[in-house]
Formats: sequence, structure tokens, C-alpha cells
Amino acid sequence: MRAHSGLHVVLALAMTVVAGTEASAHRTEDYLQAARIGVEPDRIQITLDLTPGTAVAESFIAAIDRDGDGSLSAAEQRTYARQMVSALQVELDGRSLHTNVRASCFPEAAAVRRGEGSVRLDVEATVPDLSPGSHRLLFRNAHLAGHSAYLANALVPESDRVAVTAQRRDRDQSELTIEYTVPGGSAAASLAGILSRLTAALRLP
Amino acid sequence: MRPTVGIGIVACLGVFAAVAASVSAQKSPSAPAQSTAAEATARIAGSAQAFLATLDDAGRTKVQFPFDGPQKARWSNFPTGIFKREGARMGDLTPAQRAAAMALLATAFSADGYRKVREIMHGDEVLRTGGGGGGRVTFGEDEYYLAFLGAPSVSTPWMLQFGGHHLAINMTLAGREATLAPSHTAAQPATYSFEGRTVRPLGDENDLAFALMATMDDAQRTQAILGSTMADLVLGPGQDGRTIQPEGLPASKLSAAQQAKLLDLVREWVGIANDGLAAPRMDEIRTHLPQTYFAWSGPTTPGSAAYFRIQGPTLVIEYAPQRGVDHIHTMYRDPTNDYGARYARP
Repeated sequence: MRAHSGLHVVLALAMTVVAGTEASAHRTEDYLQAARIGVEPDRIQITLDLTPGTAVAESFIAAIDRDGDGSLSAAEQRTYARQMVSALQVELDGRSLHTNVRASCFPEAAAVRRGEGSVRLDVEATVPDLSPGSHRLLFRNAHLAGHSAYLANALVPESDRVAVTAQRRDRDQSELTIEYTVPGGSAAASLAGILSRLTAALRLP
Repeated sequence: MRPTVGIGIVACLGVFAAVAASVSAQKSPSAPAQSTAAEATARIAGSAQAFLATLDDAGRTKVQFPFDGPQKARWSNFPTGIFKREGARMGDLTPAQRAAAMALLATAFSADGYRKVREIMHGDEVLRTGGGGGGRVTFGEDEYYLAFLGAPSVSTPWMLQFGGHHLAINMTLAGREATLAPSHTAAQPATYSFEGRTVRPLGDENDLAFALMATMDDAQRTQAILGSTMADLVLGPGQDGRTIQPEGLPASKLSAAQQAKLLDLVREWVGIANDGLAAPRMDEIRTHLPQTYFAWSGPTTPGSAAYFRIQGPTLVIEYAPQRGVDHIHTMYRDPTNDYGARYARP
């Protein structure tokens, strides 16, 4: 569990004080983290929609707005995005993948207070030289564990070279395993791959 | 939105005629078969024009939007105060204008669809009179909005958008074609009393799903039931343009009787539309039944809170209880035709 401890504590305190005071019965006291994962031949694309409930909105804003000026600056947004993504574990066939935040979209603080503000993070991991056959992607989200509700789903791949064969989740969906296959390439493509690797090897000192 | 008296009277007469025609058509057993989609669209366009005739220029400006613009995706499950809608607010209309608006809905929707919409709205009134809301949040039947995207037409694509808390109907019409995707229905309270009877706006959705589960053998259930909790809708508001990987039990593994039950369940969403528009859509979904999946999360004992999803090549339906049985969110989408994406633009 690698949740950011500062935000963790702040949210826990806020829930004690505020939970139950909201008139609307929409999601209030927890943090909905929805992950939609696209598996492509050369990359993994993860879209995260992070929606704090109204009861934890103030503490959520305060945790990001470190200078307390009432707005979420670009630097504060980047800091939060890095913290959030550091709590993700993404593994392909047992090997950890490096993830990058490709884009982010933060709502106005007022929208978060109204309960309709979602942070969207587009995260990508490059997949190196994926061989034909079966593969297994593990996605685990430990961000604010214990105070969050999770959703995790594989998207239909954009490429017809990839076919998702199974999805397995843990009970609360903080963890999702996607099994998928990459069909074998043509003989010409295989030969091209071999020649490419051979050429690269010959360039080595 | 004060109209001129003359226009108001003419429009009211038109409205009453439209309502009478609609109710008559929908109560007659043979009417749905005779009612083609094009005829349905013509009636809806006529009723929309009758509503517009009740408005003054300012009112018409407020209710009309470009077909391809941001208004299309401006809908939500949230109440007023959390989410700001555009269009004609029911509470701002005169009685005649409001009657014309409701007559339009009665024409656009089936009898069951119109009842469902009214019961969702009335549920929100129950929230309001029960002391819900307060602060910035406002509940109640006045807080529903009507908008047109594009001009009501018998041939050119246009959209009728109606929604508020727990309701977003996005009906795109294009002559003989129409879609309700994406639309959101929800209920809170999911059960309430009104005029001495118990009202469950989404009760049939719930009951038909549990009835389908009750027919399944162990092997079917094992494949249908997902081993995780579903905290909310996966493809709810704000999730346009995404297609998730289908999961669960393929409909091809259901018996003919079970497939019929599944289609009855699907009809709870598709059948919100006027019968003439819903029939061809049901035919399309039936054609894709072998590629359609049914997934379930939660207990299978009736009365429990359980999530389910129906997904096929042109269909995604989700039913998601919100921490109990008295607050339900649902979603209806067509990954190939949300907002009438398939229809030719003018």
C-alpha cells in the first residue's frame, strides 16, 4: 500500500467530521477511482477518472492546493498527478512497466465542492517488442486505499492485432488482470523483425 | 416565457390534439404495428413545433441549440445546484407551455416510457417535499429541462433532450431512424407511495433481471456473475465514446425462453421511445443477440442490491444500485450510434 499518507490522513479526518451532512444521497464520503485500460500492441493506455465525494471535497482540494491560494496551479496539479500515479502498479507478464502521465485535466475547485468535479489523468506505458502469443497485464491501484471505491475495466482494443481474452478483478476492483493475445505475424513480418534485430546487433561495438 | 395570447390558444388546441392522437395511438392494440418509425417521427416533430409555438422569441432562443454543439453532452445524473442545465426549465413555463411540453413527451415516448419518466420526476418531488435538498441543491418536478438540438424535422437529424436529476433522455430522430442513446434513468427513492399506491419507477427493470437470474442453472450463473463489487456505472455521464470489453454470459448460452426474458429486460430501456421507434431498434438488438452478454454483480435473491450489464455490438445497458436498493442509476448506450452518430448530417 503506497497511498500518499498526508492526503490519506486529511481525508480520514474530513470524513469523520462531514460525512452524513450532505442532503443529496449521491456519492459523498469516498473517492471514486475509475480506470479504463486500453491494451494495444505497442502501449498500454490508462484513463483514470478520480471523483472525490462532496464530504471529502474540501480536504481533497486542500491536499492539492499546497500554497492555499484557492486555486489548483499547474505545478500543484503535476505534483498530485505524480503522487497518484506512483501508487499504481502496472506489470506486463510479470515485469513492471514505467508509466507516464500523458495528459491531465483538473476541474475547478468549485466543481469539486459541488460534487461534479473529476480529475482525469491519461497515463501511458510503452510496451517493448511484444511477441505473438498470450500476455497478462496486471493493474493495481493503491491510491487512498481504504477510502476509495474502484472501477477497473478493459476497453475494446483499437487495434485488431490484440484480443482481450479475460478480465479478473479482486473484490473491490483495485486490482485488474487483463489477459490478451497477440496473433503471430506473417512470415515477411517475422523475417523483417529478425533482420532488424540482427542489424541492431551488428551495430554494437 | 410569456407567449402572445393568440399563439398560446392555437398551440394549446394543437397540443390537446397531439395528446389525444398519441394516447389513442398507443392504447390501440393494432396501432404499434401500423405505426412506422417515419410516422412516429412526424408526430413527434409536430408536437415539438406545437410546443415551440407556445413560446415567445426569447423562449424559443432559450430552448433551441445547434445539432452539433456542446449542448449534446450537457446532461447529468446530478440535481440542480450541482449541475447546471440549459433549455426550458419546467418551473419557468406557464401552465399551457408546460402542458405542451408534457404532451410532446407523451408523443415521443411510449405509454410505459412516459409513465417511467413521470414517476422519476415525481420521485424527485418526493425528495423535495420530504425535506431533501437545501443549500445549493434543488429537487422537484420544476427542475427538469427541455431542449431541441437542430430544428424539429421529419427528415433531417435533430434531438429532443429532456432531463433533470436522475433523468437524461437524449432522443435523436432522423426520419425513419431514431435512437435514445445515450440516456440515463435513475430513481431515488426507488419506492414511494403516491395517491395510495406504491410506485417503483425502475421496478420492472429490477424484477425482470432477478427473474432472469432465477431461471439460470449453476453453470450459467457462474459465467454471468462477476467476482467483484460494482461501485457505480462504468459508462455513466461523461463517458461518451468508450467501449468496454464485454463480460459475463453470452446470450447464445441462454435458452430461447431465457433469451426472450433478456429481450423483455432490454425493452425496459428501448421501449421508453414511442412504439414505432422502439420496434426497429428491438429488431436490431435481437439480430445481435448471439454476440450479446449478460453480466451480474451482487446477490441473486430478489430484494437485494445487484448490478447488471447487458452488452452487445450496438448496446450497453447498466443498472447500478447506489449502496442499497433505494437509489438506482442506469445507463443506456449504443457504442455505434450515441447521439445518432450513424445518421447522415444535413
